[in-house]
Amino acid sequence: MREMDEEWKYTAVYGVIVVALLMQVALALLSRSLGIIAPIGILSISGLQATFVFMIFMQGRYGTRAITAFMALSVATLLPLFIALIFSVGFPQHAVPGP
Amino acid sequence: MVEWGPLRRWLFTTNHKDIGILYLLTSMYFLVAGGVLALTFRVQLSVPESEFLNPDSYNQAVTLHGLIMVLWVITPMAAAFANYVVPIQIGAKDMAFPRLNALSYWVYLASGMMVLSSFFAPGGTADWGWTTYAPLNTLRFSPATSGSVMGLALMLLMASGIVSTVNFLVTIFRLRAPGMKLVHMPLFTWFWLFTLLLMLWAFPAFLAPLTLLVADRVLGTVFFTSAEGGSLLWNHLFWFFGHPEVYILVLAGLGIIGELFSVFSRRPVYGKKIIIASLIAASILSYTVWVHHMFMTGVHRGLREAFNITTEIISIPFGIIVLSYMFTLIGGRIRFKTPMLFAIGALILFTIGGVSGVFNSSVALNYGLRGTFWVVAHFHYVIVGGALTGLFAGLYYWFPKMTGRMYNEKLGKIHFITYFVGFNLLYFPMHFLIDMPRRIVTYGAETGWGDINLLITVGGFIFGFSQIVMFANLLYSLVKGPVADKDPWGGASLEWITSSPPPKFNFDEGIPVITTQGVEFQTSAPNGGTVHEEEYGGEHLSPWPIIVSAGAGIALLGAALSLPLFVLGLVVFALSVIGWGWEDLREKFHVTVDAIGEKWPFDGVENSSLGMWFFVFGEITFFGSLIGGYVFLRANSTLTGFWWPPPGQVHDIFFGAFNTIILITSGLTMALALHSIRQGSQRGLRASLLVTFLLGLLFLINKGIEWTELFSEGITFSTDIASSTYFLLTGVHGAHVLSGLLAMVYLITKAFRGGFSQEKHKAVESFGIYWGVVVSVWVLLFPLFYLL
Repeated sequence: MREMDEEWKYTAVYGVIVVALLMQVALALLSRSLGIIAPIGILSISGLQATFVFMIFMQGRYGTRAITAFMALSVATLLPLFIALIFSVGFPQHAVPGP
Repeated sequence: MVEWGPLRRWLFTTNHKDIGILYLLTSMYFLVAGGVLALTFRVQLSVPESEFLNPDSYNQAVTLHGLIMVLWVITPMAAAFANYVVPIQIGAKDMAFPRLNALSYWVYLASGMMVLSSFFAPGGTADWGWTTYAPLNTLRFSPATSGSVMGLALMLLMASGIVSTVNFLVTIFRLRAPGMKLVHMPLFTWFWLFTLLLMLWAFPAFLAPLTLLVADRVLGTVFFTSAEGGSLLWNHLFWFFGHPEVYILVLAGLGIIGELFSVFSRRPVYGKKIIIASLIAASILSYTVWVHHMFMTGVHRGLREAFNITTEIISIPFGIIVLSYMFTLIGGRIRFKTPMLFAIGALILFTIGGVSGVFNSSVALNYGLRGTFWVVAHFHYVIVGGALTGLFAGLYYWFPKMTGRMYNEKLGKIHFITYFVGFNLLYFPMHFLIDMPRRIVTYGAETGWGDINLLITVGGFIFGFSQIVMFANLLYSLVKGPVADKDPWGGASLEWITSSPPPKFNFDEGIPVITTQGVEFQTSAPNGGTVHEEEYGGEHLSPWPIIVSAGAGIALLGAALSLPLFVLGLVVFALSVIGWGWEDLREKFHVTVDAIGEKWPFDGVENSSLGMWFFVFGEITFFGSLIGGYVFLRANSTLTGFWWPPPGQVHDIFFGAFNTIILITSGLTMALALHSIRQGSQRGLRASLLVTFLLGLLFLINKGIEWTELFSEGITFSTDIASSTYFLLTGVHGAHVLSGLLAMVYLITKAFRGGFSQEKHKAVESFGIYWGVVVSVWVLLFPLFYLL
């Protein structure tokens, strides 16, 4: 019975990820009318899909808590880089070369 | 006639102590090469208007000196001691993955040989400075092919470092002896652990801009030549690696200093837990300070202020470490042996460098100091004074352990005195050249810099001479030195309870067990294994690490120089990888370095899976940096006026979605493959693996179709920044899929040979983790190119 549960769980998660993908496509197609909601929705769904793959397909939750902690640390390491990169172009004080 | 035996041992060894010695000898070789280069440009600068070197030769000498010293000398020398000592200090028999350990060394050597060979290429070697700034690093300003060789060599070196890092982390976390809790680990191992954690995220982060650079130079992409990318993108991605790299260089030396202070003052380290807490703080902060290298780039004032503060804060944990070391000495009976002299010297020099660093952190002062010899003085005090001097302390300290012979104490002291005097004559006067730019080939007599420069060059030659004393001492002592006791210093860590040099598997008496009374030995492992040699299947030699490395080196050299060489390297690489896999399938290399002791916090994850997880953590900063680059380029395109194609314009949304579903489905079938073998279903495993393979192949074929269509429409790597980004990111991901498919051939072959069972399926589990990354990264990349 437990074996069946496992297989159903993988398949259900797969279904969720694929449906989420279709939602992303729909958001992209409607992006003109949805405005800023579309890219935010698309990127959020991608993040959730990657989290599902980590937790279920990559057996993240079967590892120790340390695996999840290291995963979080790895992602957190990138946070300052993204902030600095966005800040650098969002609020430029450098000369932008001409075309 | 060459005797094959000893040569075979050194070429095919997978023993951690042999590999440690190989690292040490190679890093010493590069030290001499880097040192000679330094002396040539010091001669050039010693007098005004010198013509000893022409500007091109000068630039090449400075570039190669910096890159060799930072990347091919200091970290590898630390890795030499770590290889030799860390497994013994934690009570392990060897590293977790002995063949990967050998592979790391040979890949390191191959990358170094590529760099040195680039000197003899037409146009000379790279001449862009060790920071490899854009746009100097582009074909327009550095057209010589040796620039591409340098980029590829750096990539190879990072690959070596990543493999080594993963191996060490699994070793330290999973192979500690019974009773060896993390907190019991000696200080050197602790510092090495934090070095590894920094390398885990910094090296892949450096691999990302290197990939962009090599793509620019070899494939014609436009990351650093376009207005959207350019120098600011390189600066961010390089220094995001570059500043943690400073701590990667320094920590091992600092760990040695602490350990030696304790041993030679006969006192426990003062505040060990506080030191560890400081290490945690410094490691976290090390990823939040890199913009202080970019204050002059014109990044926003808010960023400059924030990074000014974080840079000042990071001096606090290092200050605490220095104070703890000083308190360790108080009340101790200090023995001023050569290792201790170097340790004290290292702490003094590191402190001077640290104090001058605080000045650099100030935005206002930085404007004046940037690009002057003050900065050269600062980082040499930190990196040579702190890191290299600390490593020399370790060299004298562990020399008796590694060779079984004592060095000559008198010559050791002469080495220290000439080293310390030479070092300070060389670098301290640079603080006074606060108005002299550091990147000039010569200067006029009217500047008044001549006398100080002459003094600096004299110091440089004294410093160089001191190393000759060291080499003479160590070579003489190797042959004629008195036989060393197993514990000549009264050390407390485990390497001092075993013979000098230690036996092949470190402890002849059995497995060391750490108890409240001290160290005891048990002769049989709790899981029924033994500690005897037969467990390793003979001498545990393997020819494949060196051959794989040779193949990789030749292929990468060929990628920059010639197609036939590239094909030859690729053939050697492919055949040797097959040979490695075949060795595995036939269980010719049977090494079981099982986890039998302390494994916290990874008790539930076996060695190969944990190795794969660590690799995955590194992959996150690799792909994260690439995606960060994409975000930067996309955002910057709005400033430059570049029109980024909207969704559906270049890439077919539905075709992309279809291909994404294929890859996600392969993720499901891979999870089912693992599930099947856990249930003992061989049929389920084989079927699931085959379907996963076919889906992965279909994904790649679709990508190939998509690329071909784009090429036929005239959209290539160099069309614009959008096409460059698309081809690079999907190409790198495709390379991961391809590697996965090749690994799957091995898994499928093994599955059909009945090589997996309900109890024994580590490779399937590890590969499942890898394949999960391949799927996850794609679900993040797909919207970037198809939907946004």
